[in-house]
Amino acid sequence: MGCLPGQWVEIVHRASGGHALALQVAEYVLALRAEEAKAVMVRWGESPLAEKDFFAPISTQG
Amino acid sequence: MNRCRIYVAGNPNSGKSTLFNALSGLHQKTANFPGVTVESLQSTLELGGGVVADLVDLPGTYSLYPQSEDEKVACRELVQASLNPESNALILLVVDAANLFRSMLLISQICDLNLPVLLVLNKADRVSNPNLRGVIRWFSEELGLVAVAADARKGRGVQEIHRAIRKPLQSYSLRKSHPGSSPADQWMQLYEASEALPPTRQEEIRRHHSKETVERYSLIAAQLKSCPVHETKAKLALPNSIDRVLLHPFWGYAFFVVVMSLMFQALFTWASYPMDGIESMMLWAADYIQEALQEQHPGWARFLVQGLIPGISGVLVFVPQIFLLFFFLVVLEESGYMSRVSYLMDHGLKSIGLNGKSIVPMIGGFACAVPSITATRNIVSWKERITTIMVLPLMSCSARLPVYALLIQFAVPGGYWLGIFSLQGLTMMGLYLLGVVAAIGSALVMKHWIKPKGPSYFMLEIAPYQWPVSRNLWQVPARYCINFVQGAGKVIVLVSVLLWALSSFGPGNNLIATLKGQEAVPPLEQSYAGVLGKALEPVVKPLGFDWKIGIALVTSFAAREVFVGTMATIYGLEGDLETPQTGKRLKERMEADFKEGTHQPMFDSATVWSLLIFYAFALQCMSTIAATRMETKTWKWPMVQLAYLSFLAYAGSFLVYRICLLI
Repeated sequence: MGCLPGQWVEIVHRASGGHALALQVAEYVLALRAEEAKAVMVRWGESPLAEKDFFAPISTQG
Repeated sequence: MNRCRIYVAGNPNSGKSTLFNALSGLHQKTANFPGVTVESLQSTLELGGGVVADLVDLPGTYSLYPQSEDEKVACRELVQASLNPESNALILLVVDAANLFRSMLLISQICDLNLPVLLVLNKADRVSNPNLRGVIRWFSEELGLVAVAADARKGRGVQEIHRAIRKPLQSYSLRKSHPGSSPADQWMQLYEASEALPPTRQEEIRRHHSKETVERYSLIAAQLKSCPVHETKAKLALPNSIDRVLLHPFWGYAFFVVVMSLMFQALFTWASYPMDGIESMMLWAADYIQEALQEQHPGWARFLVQGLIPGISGVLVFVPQIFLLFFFLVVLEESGYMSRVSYLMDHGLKSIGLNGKSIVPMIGGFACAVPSITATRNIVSWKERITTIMVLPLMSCSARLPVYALLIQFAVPGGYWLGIFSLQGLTMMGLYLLGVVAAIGSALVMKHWIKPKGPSYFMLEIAPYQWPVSRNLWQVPARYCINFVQGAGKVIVLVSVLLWALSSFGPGNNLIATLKGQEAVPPLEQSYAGVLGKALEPVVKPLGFDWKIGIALVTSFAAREVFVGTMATIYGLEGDLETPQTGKRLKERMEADFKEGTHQPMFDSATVWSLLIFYAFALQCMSTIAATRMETKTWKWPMVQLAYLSFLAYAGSFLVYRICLLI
């Protein structure tokens, strides 16, 4: 369980004080602490969730 | 007779235990959050043709690289089966049909174990039918896997699984998914050695696992391009109006408090009607037996009416409250709310040395500390896990419920606040909160005292909401009530009978003559129980307790709910022919008792509050001590737990008694 390089993630909830985040990762929602989320390098982009091949790596940061 | 093993494996919260229950007819605990099953459980299945299968429900794991104790249990069993050439094993790999991409890591690793695999695409109701047929075909053509669609909660697809597992194991093709993968014996060596390795080597292994996982997922992503899996994605689970309230920085916590308040109000108000009914029925039975046997068999009448029936009554009367407690817990667990509570609470719990995941066993501790201690296995950090285990007995379990319910009646009048909230219900909630506050304080002390052995982190899948299965709403509470009556009930009845014997005879009494009614029963104080209680009195007197309460404290050391049965028996035996006590409720009998040599009620508010505090903190549960020993694999932690909780109970009780006397 976690994020893969190139995988799209979307922040769906921020806990009070920003100490934790809930991320939509592929088909599920992953909750993690902000300090762990800092280890995930991201690049902004359009949500691909409507696209057919959203599992294919799109970016390789991380 | 041929014997084989069927392992029910899969990611956490994929529905393994629900499927295990559907196949075996058992009632293993299920809920809608990850990490419910933390140990392997076994049942037997008759497959026909002389073949018997051991069906094993494994804890969920995301991969064969375990992070927590529960994942280690699953990985070890699977890899051991792979290494044993005579294992005759089939893996029933349960995956969430709407979560296939994530499940592919475990699918690919399990394929590499070279064991027959039957893939179950569970929760198929969340995916449209044509897609699912395409996915099943894809698994067969690309990976050589036999796949079956199912919805175990509704029992759909279970017949197909039954048919598939009856096929000979040789009919399953074996195909490695990842040619360069680690062989099973290397994984096994890692499991065996992992704890003994130095931290730097463990970190190296973790990095290697991460690298290999990323490589596998790259292959998986390429493979999945030809699979209709991308069309099966489920709706986003979180961004909806319910979570805007339930995870709100203010309203989220407020909702949690409201849910807990409602639960405790219901325990007092809704349960009072059936409780009164049960108590009246038992009083009627006692009167009937008394009338029928008093003349011919006075000894038996005394045994049944004053010894056995109060003991049984003490057990049965609390069944409605226990039923309601478990009803609420089932609703919270099955709806998916518990993973949200973990997420909401993580920050606060981390600051006191616990983890967001600690909240699940802690709320489970309201029911029983024993399974909750085992449930801590999915907390990855050793320090956070030990701290959770150490403070868990402070969460008021269902065994304390009868004790609180009996004593609160003396301490708080039966009125309402604002015309809605029962004062006794609020007091009950206050006692549960007191346990929580004590747990927070104890965790804070342990945060500075226990040294960490590894990193602390919080990662949790937030499960989508679902309606609880209607049959679970009554079956699960009913099962716990039956367990309570059979388990605790046996002890309570046994202790009641033993107490009756100790209270009916004394030094210098002729047992047979007393039973036949030829010799008078000695006064309670001169009986064996009285002599023992008087010897104990100096220890408990500073807390405001007399020798009768002292006896109840001793008998309830093994299980705290025995307190009520003991009081029922002692106060049932107190009457004589001139002042009969039968026909009165336990509360009325206790109200009629006075402190020795005074006209002051024995159960005045100082004594009752002191007793309540004692029961809120004391570790009077042998099973909890045994569970802590089992999970920590040493006697050090259960002994520390027993010592600090006993100190807390005695000191707290002493202080409260003295303060109440001053007021």
